[in-house]
Amino acid sequence: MKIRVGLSYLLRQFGGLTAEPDTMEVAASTPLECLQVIVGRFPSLRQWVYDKEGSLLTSTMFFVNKEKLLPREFASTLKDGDELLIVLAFAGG
Amino acid sequence: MLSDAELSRYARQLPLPGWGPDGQRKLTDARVVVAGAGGLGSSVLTCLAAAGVGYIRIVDSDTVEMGNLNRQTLYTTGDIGKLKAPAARDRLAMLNPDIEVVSLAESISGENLSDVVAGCHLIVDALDNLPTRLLLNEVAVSRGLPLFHGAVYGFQGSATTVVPPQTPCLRCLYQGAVPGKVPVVGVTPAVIGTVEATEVVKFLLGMGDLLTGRLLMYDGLGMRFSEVKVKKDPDCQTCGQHHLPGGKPGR
Ligand SMILES: [Zn+2]
Repeated sequence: MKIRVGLSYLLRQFGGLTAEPDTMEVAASTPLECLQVIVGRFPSLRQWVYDKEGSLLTSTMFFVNKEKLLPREFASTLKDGDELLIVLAFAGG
Repeated sequence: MLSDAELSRYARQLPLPGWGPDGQRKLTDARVVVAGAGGLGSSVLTCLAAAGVGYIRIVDSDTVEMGNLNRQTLYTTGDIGKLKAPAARDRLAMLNPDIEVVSLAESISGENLSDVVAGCHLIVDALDNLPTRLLLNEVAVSRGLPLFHGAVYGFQGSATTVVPPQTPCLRCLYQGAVPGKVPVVGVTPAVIGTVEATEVVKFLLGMGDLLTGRLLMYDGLGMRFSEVKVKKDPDCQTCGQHHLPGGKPGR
């Protein structure tokens, strides 16, 4: 399954990846698996999306085809050609 | 009837289609609470006061610090050490003496939520942390008050509008947020606060399409606005059907 994955600017900034393209192709079947593949490729992202035990941080948001997933949909199966966007939620004012 | 001074003050907005004296009256009659008088609040408050929103309650317990002045444009160097809420009130009173501006220098908690929103038609979320935003969201949903939300980090911003009970709420959208002190450049809350104020004005006048069910995402570095859809979570702890006030369905 080929998924086009985009990372939000903040996530790329935190991971030191602002020079990388903002989207990449990933072979995986769920949003969580896509994230695992990307963190494997760019380990500097790990601390921004997972806690020390490896659980997903609640600030990590997934959007598929520009629609936000509910947490229970993070492991749902993606379709070939789906676009996944991974965003860090922020709350500054 | 608008006074001569009001006709003169609002002369450039009254001719807008859908505005006129009747539209201006809707703003004059509106009672709005703005939670947070920091970076977002500076922008929202200035826009709403200038547009002629008739009653504005400013809620903020902080005092003005030097480090606020890169973005919190309501304040001057001479305001350092003063409470923000009354300082902001005084500034807005100078901008528009025809409106009523009230300050509440308290931090928002479960205890004073009722006082914070009492008598207001809508809530502007110009806060700087997720837990308090979610508290405001709870009172917005339980009382059916529209909530206008914006958030910033550096050059990045986001905004959405909640109109309970139809639309997704903040809890449907946010499960968490990046912790810690947020770096901000003043231009970003200026942009996002203005988006929030635009939404408030449109809501009060019944104009345009609101940011309901949509999250506007602003990237000041790439200079791009984009948007994504947000859906209502049937199991939402705040607006889900099992969590709304009045108890569980079937009772
Ligand atoms: Zn909700």
